[in-house]
Amino acid sequence: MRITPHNLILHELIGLRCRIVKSTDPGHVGLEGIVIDETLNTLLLKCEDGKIRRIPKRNSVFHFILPSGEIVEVEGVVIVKRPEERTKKIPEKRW
Amino acid sequence: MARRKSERALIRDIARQRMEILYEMASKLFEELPELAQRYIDLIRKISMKCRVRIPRHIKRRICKHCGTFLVPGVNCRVRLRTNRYPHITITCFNCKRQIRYPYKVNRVKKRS
Repeated sequence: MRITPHNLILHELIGLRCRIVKSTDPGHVGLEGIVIDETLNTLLLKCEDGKIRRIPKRNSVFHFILPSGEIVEVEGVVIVKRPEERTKKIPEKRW
Repeated sequence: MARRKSERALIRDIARQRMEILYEMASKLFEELPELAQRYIDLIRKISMKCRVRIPRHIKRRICKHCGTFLVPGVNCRVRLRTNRYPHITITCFNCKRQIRYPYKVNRVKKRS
């Protein structure tokens, strides 16, 4: 079983391609890059221009591109958790 | 009850996959960005502790038991085969300068009379 749209929230985000679709900061909208690190409140993206940007998870909506080519839309609020604690429990409310 | 059990199995499965993914990326990145590779290795240990899943053996042997460093033979550790007392591999970590020993079994070829 690989990463699927169903278990993405529990799975590893590091290494996936990601695009920001919505954000309260208009400067972040449309950014695309590879996730290289993750903290409780932010994702660290390596963007195409070579810059590394730290993007808050809350107040953003992300599109993750899976290795299989599928695109999954994720509300940033859902993944506000430490990376190692995301897998710990399946949230009761399904996404 | 049955549902809970399957949930736990699912979580363990995902945790193992995450560790594999992180390990692959850490070994790819080690030459360019050793600090980021180390960060991934730290994440592997954290995931294993939080989700109560064992680190797969091939990954565990690349992590220093004492200080948690990502061990790359020839760069930050020394690997030697030793056979005093019992056959084992000795890995010396250059970061904490301590040793890890893993025993191994020798397959003896039986002599035919």
